[in-house]
Amino acid sequence: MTAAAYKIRTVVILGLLAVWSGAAAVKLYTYTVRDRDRLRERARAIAWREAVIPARRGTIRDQAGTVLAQDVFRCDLVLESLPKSPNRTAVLLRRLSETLNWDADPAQLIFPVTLKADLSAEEIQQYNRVFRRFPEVRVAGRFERQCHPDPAIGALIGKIALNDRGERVGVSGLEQKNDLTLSGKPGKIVFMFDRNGSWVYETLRVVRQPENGQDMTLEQPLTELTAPLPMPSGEREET
Amino acid sequence: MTPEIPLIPGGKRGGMLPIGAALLLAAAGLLGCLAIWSARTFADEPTLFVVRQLWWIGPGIVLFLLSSAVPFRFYRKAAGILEMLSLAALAAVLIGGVSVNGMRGWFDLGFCTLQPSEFAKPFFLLYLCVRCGERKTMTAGQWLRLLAVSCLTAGLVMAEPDYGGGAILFLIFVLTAILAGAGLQVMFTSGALMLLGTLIFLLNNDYAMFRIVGFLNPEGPSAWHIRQFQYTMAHGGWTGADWGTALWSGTFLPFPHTDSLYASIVESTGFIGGVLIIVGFLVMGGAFCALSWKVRGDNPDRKFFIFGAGTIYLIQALIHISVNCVLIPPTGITLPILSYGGSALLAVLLTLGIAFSAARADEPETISTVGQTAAGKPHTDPAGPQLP
Repeated sequence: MTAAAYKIRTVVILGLLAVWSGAAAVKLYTYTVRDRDRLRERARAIAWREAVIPARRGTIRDQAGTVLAQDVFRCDLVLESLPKSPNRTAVLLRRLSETLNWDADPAQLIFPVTLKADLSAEEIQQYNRVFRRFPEVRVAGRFERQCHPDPAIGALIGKIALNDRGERVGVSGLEQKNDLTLSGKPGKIVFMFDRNGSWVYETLRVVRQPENGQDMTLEQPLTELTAPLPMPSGEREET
Repeated sequence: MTPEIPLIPGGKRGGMLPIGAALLLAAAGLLGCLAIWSARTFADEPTLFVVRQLWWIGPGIVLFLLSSAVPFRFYRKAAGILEMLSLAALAAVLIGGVSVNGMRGWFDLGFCTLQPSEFAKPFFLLYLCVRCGERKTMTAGQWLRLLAVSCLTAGLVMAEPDYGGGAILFLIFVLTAILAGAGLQVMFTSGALMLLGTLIFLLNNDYAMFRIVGFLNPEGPSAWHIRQFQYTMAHGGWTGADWGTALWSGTFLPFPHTDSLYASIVESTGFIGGVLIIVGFLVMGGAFCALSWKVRGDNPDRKFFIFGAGTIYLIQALIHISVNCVLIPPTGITLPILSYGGSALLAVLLTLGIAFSAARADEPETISTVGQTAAGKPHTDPAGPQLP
């Protein structure tokens, strides 16, 4: 084979590879530039989520400053669903049994299941480590409304419940009457899931800070509140 | 006969070329480490693979310099033995190898793992170049024998199962056959065998068929991997995003540090970075091509090897890039020099080292190692000198 023939062959081979490279570059342009917005929109839809940060409900005190109702932050260990893969489900159930002595028939579960309520800081660390590979199990924070133990005061303060949007609203007593003052406005966060469904904490961003509810102080002291309540004059007339 | 002219002359200037190349390769290896680090930011152990890869760069460069210092006549003599050792290792790994991601392709040496299919590439290329260079014209029987060795080598790799590695080995045969001037009959036969091998592989590996279906129907459930390539690259835009913390690669893209490294690099460096990678590999292929043109001498095995060394890794890079750009169906193949993998890095550097040895060839060749005719006689030119 002459040197010229060899050169022609190598040039033809490299030429074909250059054409191949060009085709790859065109595809690269398609994804990075031409179809970028459409692809990013689709990617955002599958990976990014929004969540609400609940606002702390205002504290109710009597005239002397004694707390009658307040929000306390609690962390629970929650099972949100079972893994899709039967193998992973078996591993998760075994780990739940070993760690929490939790045994339940998976077919009977109604999600979300609270596995353990009111975790300590050490427990949060431990469970985050143990269930790192299982995004279905996570530590969920919530506010719990604590009321004065006296039933009479409890009746005066009233109760709160979740509305259909998942917000806590007063449904009776002072909680209902002063709901606008006490409830505040929830905040909003956005974050990304990875392919296993685990939160990517580095992507978590607060879009709107929660505005906590305002505290309120009653004009009566605790002793007066525990006494039988006088009926409002208007109501008495009606009865 | 044209006398053997040393392409890289001895002395100070000649010794500088492999050192310059070693520096370039070390820089490319470090660039690969950066890309691996960026792709693994969100993993459980983000620095695990980058630290391991950094460990391989030093021995790799030493191997490159040593292999480039060994005279090519040694490789020429040892080509058959090296190919046999390579075949033995490929067979042994199927029996005593360890599986990673469902592929039985590694020997566990305790302190590291070794992938014989990566080392099969330089030894197989060397074997083919030497055998094709021995004769001026090859008979159909000789081509068939080489084709049988190629099928055996590629078949053992495909049995791991590693389709990408097997295909690369077969392409080495096709490339050498073109260079050595094989006839259309040989090319058609090898094409038909490659097609047959692909079909057998697809029928025996459900996951491969699943990938083909996904490629043909990109909106279907089996195209999940393909869509992740698209989303990752779209995140990069013109100039890239999240350098050092490749978000989509780290959270959604499978194997971002090996088989999907190109998409991960594009996410961090954008269209411009992606094109630079393509151009870089083209330049490497072109440089080795130009180097092979300068080789003189009666035996073409040296220029075949030099051209083959550059081109085969250019082809591997283009397959990797094409898989990531969804130009061809997904197959597990790494980006040479840049992707994670100690065996792959060592094998590339060994190949390029041998190519530099072939380019240097500043030692006289004996008649016994110079090409022979089909009749087994040395094809010497009585008009020219035998030894420089």
